[in-house]
Amino acid sequence: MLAAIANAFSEKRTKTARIPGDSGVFLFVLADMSMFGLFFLSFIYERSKNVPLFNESRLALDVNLGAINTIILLTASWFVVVAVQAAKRGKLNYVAPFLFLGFVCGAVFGGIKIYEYADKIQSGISMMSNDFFMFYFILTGIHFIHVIAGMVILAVLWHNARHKRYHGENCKGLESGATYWHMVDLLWIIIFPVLYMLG
Amino acid sequence: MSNAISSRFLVFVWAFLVVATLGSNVLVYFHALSGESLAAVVMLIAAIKVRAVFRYYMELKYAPLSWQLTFDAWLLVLTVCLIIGFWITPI
Repeated sequence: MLAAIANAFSEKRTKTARIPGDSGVFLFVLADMSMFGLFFLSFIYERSKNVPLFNESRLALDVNLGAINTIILLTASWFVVVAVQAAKRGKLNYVAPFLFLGFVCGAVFGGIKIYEYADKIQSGISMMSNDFFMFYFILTGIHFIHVIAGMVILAVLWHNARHKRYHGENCKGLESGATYWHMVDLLWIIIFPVLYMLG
Repeated sequence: MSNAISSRFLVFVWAFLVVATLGSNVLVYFHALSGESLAAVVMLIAAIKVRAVFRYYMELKYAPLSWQLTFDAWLLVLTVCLIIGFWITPI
Protein backbone atom coordinates (compact mmCIF):
# COMPACT_ATOMS: atom_id res chain seq x y z
CA MET A 1 0.00 0.00 0.00
CA LEU A 2 2.79 2.45 0.97
CA ALA A 3 4.72 1.57 -2.17
CA ALA A 4 1.62 2.27 -4.27
CA ILE A 5 1.17 5.65 -2.59
CA ALA A 6 4.82 6.56 -3.10
CA ASN A 7 4.66 5.51 -6.73
CA ALA A 8 1.55 7.53 -7.37
CA PHE A 9 3.08 10.72 -5.94
CA SER A 10 6.31 10.27 -7.86
CA GLU A 11 4.94 8.93 -11.12
CA LYS A 12 5.75 10.98 -14.14
CA ARG A 13 3.37 11.72 -16.94
CA THR A 14 3.90 8.80 -19.25
CA LYS A 15 1.75 9.98 -22.14
CA THR A 16 0.36 13.15 -23.65
CA ALA A 17 -1.79 15.20 -21.32
CA ARG A 18 -5.47 14.56 -21.98
CA ILE A 19 -8.93 15.27 -20.75
CA PRO A 20 -10.81 12.04 -19.99
CA GLY A 21 -13.90 11.75 -22.14
CA ASP A 22 -15.25 14.69 -24.07
CA SER A 23 -13.78 18.13 -23.39
CA GLY A 24 -17.26 19.59 -23.99
CA VAL A 25 -18.50 17.69 -20.94
CA PHE A 26 -15.68 19.17 -18.87
CA LEU A 27 -16.70 22.61 -20.07
CA PHE A 28 -20.29 21.89 -19.07
CA VAL A 29 -19.10 20.64 -15.68
CA LEU A 30 -17.10 23.83 -15.16
CA ALA A 31 -20.14 25.93 -16.06
CA ASP A 32 -22.35 23.96 -13.68
CA MET A 33 -19.79 24.29 -10.90
CA SER A 34 -19.64 28.03 -11.52
CA MET A 35 -23.43 28.26 -11.12
CA PHE A 36 -23.17 26.51 -7.77
CA GLY A 37 -20.26 28.79 -6.90
CA LEU A 38 -22.56 31.77 -7.34
CA PHE A 39 -25.16 30.08 -5.13
CA PHE A 40 -22.55 29.60 -2.39
CA LEU A 41 -21.41 33.22 -2.60
CA SER A 42 -25.02 34.35 -2.54
CA PHE A 43 -25.60 32.24 0.58
CA ILE A 44 -22.61 33.82 2.32
CA TYR A 45 -23.82 37.30 1.39
CA GLU A 46 -27.37 36.73 2.60
CA ARG A 47 -26.05 35.10 5.78
CA SER A 48 -24.05 38.23 6.55
CA LYS A 49 -27.34 40.16 6.77
CA ASN A 50 -28.78 37.93 9.51
CA VAL A 51 -26.13 35.75 11.09
CA PRO A 52 -28.12 34.75 14.22
CA LEU A 53 -31.04 33.52 12.09
CA PHE A 54 -28.76 31.44 9.87
CA ASN A 55 -26.82 30.05 12.84
CA GLU A 56 -29.97 29.06 14.67
CA SER A 57 -31.70 27.58 11.64
CA ARG A 58 -28.65 25.51 10.79
CA LEU A 59 -29.14 23.62 14.07
CA ALA A 60 -32.30 22.03 12.67
CA LEU A 61 -30.21 20.11 10.16
CA ASP A 62 -28.90 16.64 10.97
CA VAL A 63 -25.10 16.80 10.64
CA ASN A 64 -24.78 13.04 11.00
CA LEU A 65 -27.07 12.38 8.04
CA GLY A 66 -25.13 14.95 6.05
CA ALA A 67 -21.85 13.20 6.86
CA ILE A 68 -23.32 9.81 5.97
CA ASN A 69 -24.51 11.22 2.65
CA THR A 70 -21.04 12.62 2.01
CA ILE A 71 -19.44 9.23 2.59
CA ILE A 72 -22.08 7.58 0.39
CA LEU A 73 -21.32 9.87 -2.53
CA LEU A 74 -17.55 9.49 -2.01
CA THR A 75 -18.01 5.71 -2.15
CA ALA A 76 -20.19 6.01 -5.24
CA SER A 77 -17.46 8.01 -6.94
CA TRP A 78 -14.91 5.38 -6.02
CA PHE A 79 -17.11 2.66 -7.55
CA VAL A 80 -17.41 4.70 -10.76
CA VAL A 81 -13.65 5.26 -10.92
CA VAL A 82 -13.08 1.52 -10.50
CA ALA A 83 -15.53 0.87 -13.37
CA VAL A 84 -13.66 3.28 -15.65
CA GLN A 85 -10.28 1.79 -14.74
CA ALA A 86 -11.64 -1.72 -15.33
CA ALA A 87 -12.84 -0.74 -18.81
CA LYS A 88 -9.47 0.80 -19.68
CA ARG A 89 -7.65 -2.32 -18.50
CA GLY A 90 -9.90 -4.66 -20.44
CA LYS A 91 -11.54 -6.16 -17.35
CA LEU A 92 -14.94 -5.77 -18.91
CA ASN A 93 -16.80 -8.03 -16.48
CA TYR A 94 -16.20 -5.55 -13.68
CA VAL A 95 -17.50 -2.44 -15.43
CA ALA A 96 -21.26 -3.00 -15.17
CA PRO A 97 -21.26 -4.28 -11.54
CA PHE A 98 -19.30 -1.30 -10.25
CA LEU A 99 -21.49 1.14 -12.18
CA PHE A 100 -24.48 -0.57 -10.59
CA LEU A 101 -22.95 -0.13 -7.14
CA GLY A 102 -22.48 3.55 -7.89
CA PHE A 103 -26.14 3.76 -8.90
CA VAL A 104 -27.21 2.06 -5.67
CA CYS A 105 -25.20 4.55 -3.65
CA GLY A 106 -26.97 7.36 -5.49
CA ALA A 107 -30.32 5.79 -4.64
CA VAL A 108 -29.38 5.54 -0.95
CA PHE A 109 -28.32 9.19 -0.98
CA GLY A 110 -31.67 10.06 -2.53
CA GLY A 111 -33.55 8.07 0.07
CA ILE A 112 -31.80 9.87 2.90
CA LYS A 113 -32.45 13.25 1.27
CA ILE A 114 -36.17 12.45 0.93
CA TYR A 115 -36.26 11.42 4.59
CA GLU A 116 -34.61 14.71 5.54
CA TYR A 117 -37.05 16.76 3.49
CA ALA A 118 -40.04 14.87 4.91
CA ASP A 119 -38.75 15.38 8.43
CA LYS A 120 -38.36 19.11 7.88
CA ILE A 121 -41.80 19.49 6.33
CA GLN A 122 -43.46 17.49 9.11
CA SER A 123 -41.74 19.78 11.58
CA GLY A 124 -43.34 22.75 9.84
CA ILE A 125 -40.16 23.85 8.09
CA SER A 126 -40.35 24.72 4.41
CA MET A 127 -38.59 26.78 1.79
CA MET A 128 -40.71 29.75 2.87
CA SER A 129 -39.79 29.51 6.56
CA ASN A 130 -36.82 31.86 6.32
CA ASP A 131 -33.84 32.72 4.10
CA PHE A 132 -31.64 29.94 5.48
CA PHE A 133 -34.19 27.26 4.67
CA MET A 134 -34.82 28.82 1.28
CA PHE A 135 -31.12 28.29 0.54
CA TYR A 136 -31.19 24.84 2.12
CA PHE A 137 -34.06 23.56 0.01
CA ILE A 138 -32.90 25.26 -3.19
CA LEU A 139 -29.22 24.30 -2.92
CA THR A 140 -29.83 20.72 -1.86
CA GLY A 141 -32.83 20.43 -4.17
CA ILE A 142 -30.91 21.48 -7.26
CA HIS A 143 -28.09 19.20 -6.19
CA PHE A 144 -30.63 16.38 -5.75
CA ILE A 145 -31.81 16.93 -9.32
CA HIS A 146 -28.20 16.60 -10.41
CA VAL A 147 -27.92 13.34 -8.45
CA ILE A 148 -31.01 11.99 -10.23
CA ALA A 149 -29.57 13.03 -13.61
CA GLY A 150 -26.31 11.34 -12.62
CA MET A 151 -28.18 8.16 -11.75
CA VAL A 152 -29.86 8.20 -15.17
CA ILE A 153 -26.43 8.57 -16.75
CA LEU A 154 -25.06 5.70 -14.64
CA ALA A 155 -28.03 3.56 -15.71
CA VAL A 156 -27.28 4.23 -19.38
CA LEU A 157 -23.59 3.52 -18.83
CA TRP A 158 -24.50 0.32 -16.99
CA HIS A 159 -26.71 -0.81 -19.86
CA ASN A 160 -23.94 -0.16 -22.40
CA ALA A 161 -21.35 -1.80 -20.15
CA ARG A 162 -23.45 -4.96 -19.93
CA HIS A 163 -23.06 -5.18 -23.70
CA LYS A 164 -19.30 -4.69 -23.35
CA ARG A 165 -19.39 -1.39 -25.25
CA TYR A 166 -16.65 0.25 -23.17
CA HIS A 167 -13.10 -1.04 -23.50
CA GLY A 168 -9.54 0.14 -24.02
CA GLU A 169 -9.66 3.02 -26.50
CA ASN A 170 -13.47 3.25 -26.55
CA CYS A 171 -14.14 4.79 -23.15
CA LYS A 172 -15.07 8.35 -23.98
CA GLY A 173 -18.75 7.99 -23.12
CA LEU A 174 -17.95 6.16 -19.89
CA GLU A 175 -15.35 8.75 -18.88
CA SER A 176 -17.69 11.63 -19.68
CA GLY A 177 -20.49 10.13 -17.60
CA ALA A 178 -18.06 9.46 -14.77
CA THR A 179 -16.86 13.08 -14.90
CA TYR A 180 -20.42 14.32 -14.44
CA TRP A 181 -20.90 11.97 -11.47
CA HIS A 182 -17.70 13.18 -9.81
CA MET A 183 -18.96 16.76 -10.18
CA VAL A 184 -22.11 15.77 -8.29
CA ASP A 185 -19.91 14.32 -5.56
CA LEU A 186 -17.57 17.29 -5.23
CA LEU A 187 -20.45 19.77 -5.09
CA TRP A 188 -21.88 17.93 -2.08
CA ILE A 189 -18.41 17.98 -0.46
CA ILE A 190 -18.82 21.78 -0.36
CA ILE A 191 -22.58 21.94 0.28
CA PHE A 192 -22.29 19.80 3.42
CA PRO A 193 -19.96 22.04 5.46
CA VAL A 194 -21.45 25.29 4.18
CA LEU A 195 -25.05 24.38 5.09
CA TYR A 196 -24.77 21.75 7.81
CA MET A 197 -21.60 22.38 9.77
CA LEU A 198 -20.67 26.03 9.88
CA GLY A 199 -22.50 28.95 11.34
CA MET B 1 -2.01 1.83 -19.76
CA SER B 2 -1.44 5.56 -20.17
CA ASN B 3 -2.06 7.72 -17.13
CA ALA B 4 -3.83 4.92 -15.24
CA ILE B 5 -3.94 5.30 -11.46
CA SER B 6 -3.33 2.14 -9.50
CA SER B 7 -6.31 0.52 -7.85
CA ARG B 8 -4.56 0.50 -4.47
CA PHE B 9 -3.94 4.22 -4.68
CA LEU B 10 -7.60 4.83 -5.49
CA VAL B 11 -8.54 2.95 -2.31
CA PHE B 12 -6.12 5.16 -0.41
CA VAL B 13 -7.75 8.27 -1.90
CA TRP B 14 -11.20 7.01 -0.88
CA ALA B 15 -9.99 6.24 2.64
CA PHE B 16 -8.42 9.70 2.91
CA LEU B 17 -11.66 11.36 1.79
CA VAL B 18 -13.71 9.39 4.33
CA VAL B 19 -11.29 10.10 7.18
CA ALA B 20 -11.22 13.81 6.25
CA THR B 21 -15.03 13.85 6.32
CA LEU B 22 -15.20 12.20 9.73
CA GLY B 23 -12.38 14.39 11.01
CA SER B 24 -14.29 17.53 10.09
CA ASN B 25 -17.34 16.17 11.90
CA VAL B 26 -15.26 15.53 15.02
CA LEU B 27 -13.79 19.03 14.92
CA VAL B 28 -17.26 20.58 14.69
CA TYR B 29 -18.87 18.26 17.24
CA PHE B 30 -16.26 18.89 19.91
CA HIS B 31 -15.87 22.61 19.08
CA ALA B 32 -12.17 21.90 18.87
CA LEU B 33 -11.47 25.40 17.52
CA SER B 34 -12.95 28.86 17.85
CA GLY B 35 -15.72 29.77 15.40
CA GLU B 36 -13.73 31.57 12.70
CA SER B 37 -10.77 29.18 12.88
CA LEU B 38 -13.14 26.22 12.78
CA ALA B 39 -14.74 27.52 9.59
CA ALA B 40 -11.36 28.08 7.97
CA VAL B 41 -10.08 24.61 8.87
CA VAL B 42 -13.28 22.83 7.81
CA MET B 43 -13.40 24.68 4.49
CA LEU B 44 -9.71 23.98 3.87
CA ILE B 45 -10.33 20.28 4.50
CA ALA B 46 -13.27 20.43 2.06
CA ALA B 47 -11.05 22.14 -0.52
CA ILE B 48 -8.38 19.44 -0.16
CA LYS B 49 -11.07 16.80 -0.63
CA VAL B 50 -12.41 18.51 -3.75
CA ARG B 51 -8.91 18.78 -5.18
CA ALA B 52 -8.35 15.08 -4.58
CA VAL B 53 -11.56 14.39 -6.55
CA PHE B 54 -10.31 16.74 -9.28
CA ARG B 55 -6.93 15.10 -9.63
CA TYR B 56 -7.52 11.42 -8.97
CA TYR B 57 -11.20 10.77 -9.77
CA MET B 58 -11.63 13.26 -12.63
CA GLU B 59 -8.01 12.57 -13.69
CA LEU B 60 -7.17 16.26 -13.97
CA LYS B 61 -3.70 15.26 -12.77
CA TYR B 62 -3.09 14.14 -16.34
CA ALA B 63 -4.99 16.93 -18.07
CA PRO B 64 -3.46 19.88 -19.93
CA LEU B 65 -2.19 22.54 -17.54
CA SER B 66 -4.82 25.04 -18.66
CA TRP B 67 -7.62 22.76 -17.46
CA GLN B 68 -5.87 22.04 -14.18
CA LEU B 69 -5.35 25.72 -13.48
CA THR B 70 -8.94 26.59 -14.40
CA PHE B 71 -10.44 24.07 -12.00
CA ASP B 72 -7.92 24.94 -9.31
CA ALA B 73 -8.75 28.63 -9.75
CA TRP B 74 -12.47 27.89 -9.26
CA LEU B 75 -11.66 26.02 -6.07
CA LEU B 76 -9.26 28.65 -4.78
CA VAL B 77 -11.61 31.58 -5.35
CA LEU B 78 -14.59 29.76 -3.83
CA THR B 79 -12.65 28.51 -0.79
CA VAL B 80 -11.15 31.92 -0.05
CA CYS B 81 -14.54 33.65 -0.41
CA LEU B 82 -16.24 31.11 1.87
CA ILE B 83 -13.51 31.34 4.53
CA ILE B 84 -13.63 35.14 4.42
CA GLY B 85 -17.43 35.06 4.50
CA PHE B 86 -17.53 32.91 7.63
CA TRP B 87 -14.62 34.86 9.17
CA ILE B 88 -16.13 38.32 8.91
CA THR B 89 -19.54 37.06 10.03
CA PRO B 90 -18.52 35.12 13.12
CA ILE B 91 -19.99 31.74 13.87
